[in-house]
Amino acid sequence: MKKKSQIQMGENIAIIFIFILLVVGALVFYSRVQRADFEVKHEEDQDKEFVQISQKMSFLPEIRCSQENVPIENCIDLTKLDKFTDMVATSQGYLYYENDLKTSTITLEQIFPDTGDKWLLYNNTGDKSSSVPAYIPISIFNPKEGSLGEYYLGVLIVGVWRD
Amino acid sequence: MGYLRRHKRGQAEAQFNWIFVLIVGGVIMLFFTAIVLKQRSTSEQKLSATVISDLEAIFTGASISKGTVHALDVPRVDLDFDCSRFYLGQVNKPIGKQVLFAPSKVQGTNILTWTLEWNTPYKVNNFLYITSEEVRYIFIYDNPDSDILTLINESIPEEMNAEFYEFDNDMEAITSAITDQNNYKVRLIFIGEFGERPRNIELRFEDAKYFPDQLSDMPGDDLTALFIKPHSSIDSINNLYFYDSDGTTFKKINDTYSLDHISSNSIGEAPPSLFGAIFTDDAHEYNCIMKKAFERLDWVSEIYLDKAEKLKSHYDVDYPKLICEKNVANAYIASPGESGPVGIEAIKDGADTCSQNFPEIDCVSQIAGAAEALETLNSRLLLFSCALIY
Repeated sequence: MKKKSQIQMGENIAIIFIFILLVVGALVFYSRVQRADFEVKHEEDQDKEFVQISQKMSFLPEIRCSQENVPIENCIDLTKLDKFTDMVATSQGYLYYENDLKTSTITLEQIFPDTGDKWLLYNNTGDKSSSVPAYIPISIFNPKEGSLGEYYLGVLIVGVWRD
Repeated sequence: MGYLRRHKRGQAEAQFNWIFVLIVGGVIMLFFTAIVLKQRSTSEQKLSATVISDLEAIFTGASISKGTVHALDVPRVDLDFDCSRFYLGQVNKPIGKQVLFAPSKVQGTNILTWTLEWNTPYKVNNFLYITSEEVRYIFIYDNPDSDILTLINESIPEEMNAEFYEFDNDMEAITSAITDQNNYKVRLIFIGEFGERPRNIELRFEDAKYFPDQLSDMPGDDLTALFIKPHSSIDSINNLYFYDSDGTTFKKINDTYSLDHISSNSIGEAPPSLFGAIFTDDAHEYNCIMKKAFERLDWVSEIYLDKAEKLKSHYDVDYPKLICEKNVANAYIASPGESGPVGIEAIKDGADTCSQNFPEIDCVSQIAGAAEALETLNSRLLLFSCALIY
């Protein structure tokens, strides 16, 4: 009788042990699937963030060209650029734009005529390690050239930093 | 005797076995219940995070295209808004420096977004408005020819749940006709003076006749009112009075201002900050959002101030043209004999003060006056074929 009970108890413990093993295995599998899902979601969020930052930057009234207060599409006013970069370089300016431009590096390059001019508009790498830049063709307007100003061709390079 | 002892031990072992099974079974059940509960709350948070992130992307997209209305069909959501964040359940997102006017709660399956450009006189920002088709807006006016009424009526999005009532010396007839349509928020907007008594115009709306009795069961912050004090003609500044319900009458909570530069080129355009007061049901939130708008105006003005200085130097040194130099200089430098800042300097100075002290009328008036003067100067630059400031 004693032996029979001991065998029964041993069976119970073995069943519980196998059950726990199965549960742990299932949890490990589930957490891996969840992590893969999370990574896909995180990448999607970063893509959305990139689109938002690019949109905000292209429509920023601080640097956008206007004629009689009518905004000109895809155009940056050269006379506003220097002050904007100076302002963003201050801690107050950095804090002001951080929420909109997040962890990104935004530069403007003049490509025609090729003067080699380049402006760093915003730079916040955070603690992230890589960025994939996107190139947005843009015109640069210099109102100080001649009587009514001149247009150049440039490219806005928006790089959003990722983990 | 020996049989009895063995039998007793057998019974004890069987009992122990059952207790063991019970305890282990209970622990397993507790474990799975905890997992299910945790998983449920995680899924809810994950869903909220996905929805809020999608909404943020939609709001950003909407905010850059001025003058557009978007009606979004979404699963039933319950969003809360304040000056700095918006919330969905336990998840929230910062609004940052975006100027976003919305009722404190946006519920339903149809969300409306609307975008207007705020110019003073140069473009400062796009104002984004968010509301639900389940929020009811009731406009009551005493003068159908009023300019401000015409502006509101012509520019308000068709998708908004708005009704218009004309006052015909009998306010009770209007308020008693306002029936309960099961809206979770109702906002009454009074445009006009509605007679002469009591003399203190803002106290007029605390009279019981201005209160819709059939909506008396609604909580105080769900039934609200706004009084727009009319001017004889369209003015950049409007006096605004916010009211909450106490169940029988409206009680004034706060008074403030709207500031919308009326440009000669944009007469007939919707007044963005006035619409901000219509959409926002809380005066403190409205003032906080307007402070963000003035902060942006301060930043943008600093850039225009620098641009004007550069243009002046250009017309002074590189490309001498006296008429352009003089007009650009007038845009930001105080003319001889004038005290205090004018033009862009005055706008920047006013914006700096308003970003901290709004609703202070002095800074609002300073910006309105300087914006008007700057617009004249900018038009003069165009006339003389000079580069424009904005």
